[in-house]
Amino acid sequence: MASSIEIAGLRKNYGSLSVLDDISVSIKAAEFLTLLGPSGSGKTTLLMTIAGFVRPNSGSIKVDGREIVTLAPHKRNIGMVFQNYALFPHMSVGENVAYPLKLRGVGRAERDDRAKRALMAVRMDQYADRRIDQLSGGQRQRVAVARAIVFEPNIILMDEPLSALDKRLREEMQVELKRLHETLGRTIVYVTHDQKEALTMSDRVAVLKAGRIHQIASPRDIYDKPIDRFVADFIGDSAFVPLTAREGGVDLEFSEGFRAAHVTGKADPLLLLRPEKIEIVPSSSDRQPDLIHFDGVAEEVLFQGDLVVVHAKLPDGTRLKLQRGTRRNTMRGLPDIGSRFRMAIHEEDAWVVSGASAGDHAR
Amino acid sequence: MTLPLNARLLSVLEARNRAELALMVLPGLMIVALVIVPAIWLGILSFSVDGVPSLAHYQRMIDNSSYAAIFLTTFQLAGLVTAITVLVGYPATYAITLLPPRLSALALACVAIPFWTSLLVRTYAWMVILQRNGILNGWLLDAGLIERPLRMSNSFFGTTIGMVHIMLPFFIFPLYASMRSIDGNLTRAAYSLGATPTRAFFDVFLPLSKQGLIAGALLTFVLCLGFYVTPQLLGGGNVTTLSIKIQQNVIVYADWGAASALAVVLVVIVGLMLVASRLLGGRGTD
Repeated sequence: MASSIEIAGLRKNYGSLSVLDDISVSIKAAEFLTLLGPSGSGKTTLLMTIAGFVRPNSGSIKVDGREIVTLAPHKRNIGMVFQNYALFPHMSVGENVAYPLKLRGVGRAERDDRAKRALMAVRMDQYADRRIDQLSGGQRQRVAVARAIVFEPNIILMDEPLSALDKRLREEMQVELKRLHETLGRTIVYVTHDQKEALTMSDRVAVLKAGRIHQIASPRDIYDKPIDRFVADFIGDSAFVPLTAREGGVDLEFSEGFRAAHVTGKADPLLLLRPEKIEIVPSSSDRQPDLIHFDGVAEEVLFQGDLVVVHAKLPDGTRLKLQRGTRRNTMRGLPDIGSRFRMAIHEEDAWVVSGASAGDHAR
Repeated sequence: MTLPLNARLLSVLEARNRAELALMVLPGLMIVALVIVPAIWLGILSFSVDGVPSLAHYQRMIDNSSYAAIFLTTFQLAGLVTAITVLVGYPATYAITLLPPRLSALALACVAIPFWTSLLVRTYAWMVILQRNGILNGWLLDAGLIERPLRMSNSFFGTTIGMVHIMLPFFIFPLYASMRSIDGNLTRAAYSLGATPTRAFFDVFLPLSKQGLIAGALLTFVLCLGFYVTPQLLGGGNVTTLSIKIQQNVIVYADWGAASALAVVLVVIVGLMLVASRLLGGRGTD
């Protein structure tokens, strides 16, 4: 069973420093919510507050409607996976996983059985007798997950659980944790600073900055429709071009429909240009109605195996990247370094953010 | 003849490395001359009487019942001092680790400053506090808790107090280092799994600090076994330990052989204890 979490008006100050600044969010039962943000954004503090290790100055945390903000951590029945796994080095793998059951007075036979099943869920049942220091990083990670799920908590918190693993293992574990989330059906609150990880795994992503939730949305909306420049910058590669006519600016033409939908009413509107949304079009071609055209000079053309990345400089000095696949048809028509070429973005792929510094956006 | 590329230059570097290694021989020789040779010499002395090989010094330890009493006193004193040091030092060290950084640095300084003060000064200070008309007896009399002064100095009791005070830093520092190396997330993990703070302490923190506890207790015990100044001054002749007997053998009886034999026995006992603790500790965590 999964629990919902209702957080309202959560504040935490260390002296004059506000680490959590009026955080309110409701997390649905069985949801996978990721807290994403740069270091110092308060994401780990928020997680630790839910776990009970950080006591907020004010605010409410309700689990299935029951207030837990004053409850001691050991009474919350929330599973937690720590960044460095926090496995007990003086206990074997099996003892680690059975420990929460032992605390709950579960008899030996049932304890062993349930520990074994939890280890099986993470494919570590062969390692029950091993010492912790005999395990690799990925194996420790799995054991930590098994220990956090064995007592069947309704909520599982994970604090950058994959950050210590190498890239390949991390991607493998992302898929595995996602699968585990689907089979267990528990509420998971996950902290990471890796935006790709957040997009891959989550039902919703909450982007934090300076102790506030800046935007909370599905991975697609976070990526394609960032609420402001901060979110757009933090997630994915991005370049911005002003859409208001100015001296020496980039001349951009777009439809009235696009203007009405995206530009009108925004202070200092900026066109968000992501590398994979930009196409290269023949310089001689006429303007197509749905495309926003712009010219630039190629500064670098980098072959990366699966991708080829072109670094370009626009007339106003903006630098951007565009990328294409390396199939024979996309490898044709690449600009020469130093040459001027024409690019375009489809209006449906385009997104406009406000350049005016956004402090108090809606969540 | 042509040499391979850069062979001459590289061989010069190689020769320099060897020369540097040769320099290390000097300190090595000093250790042999100043530590190992005298130790062997003492060992030989203990096995001879008037230059003739003999086991008489060891035989005396078995035959003369006063030696059994000396060994007993020494081990009782070391055991009691170690036990009290552990009982006082462990909670104190644990409390220091829980303090915020600035306060814990201050607390450690409070442990370290007496540690830097001369042993002799501290022992005399205890004499002043504990003697018949000393500070402590004065307070107790004034408070009406006792009617006549307690005999605290010149006794086993006074020696124990003085030695615990001197031994505490030796126990606290290694234990503190060991406690500090315990990841704070481990106790947090225990809480998150449902352990009460008490349970988390006994299930997680205590077992993980066991190594430091054993190391500190062993160091304390071994230092106590050979301790001389404090038993001599605070014992006031009523506490005869091995070290005091050794001193008597040398100064009073000028019997180097007897003194050496006691020293050899002490070294063997300490050596056996270290081996035993190794075997015991080897089964725990790394």
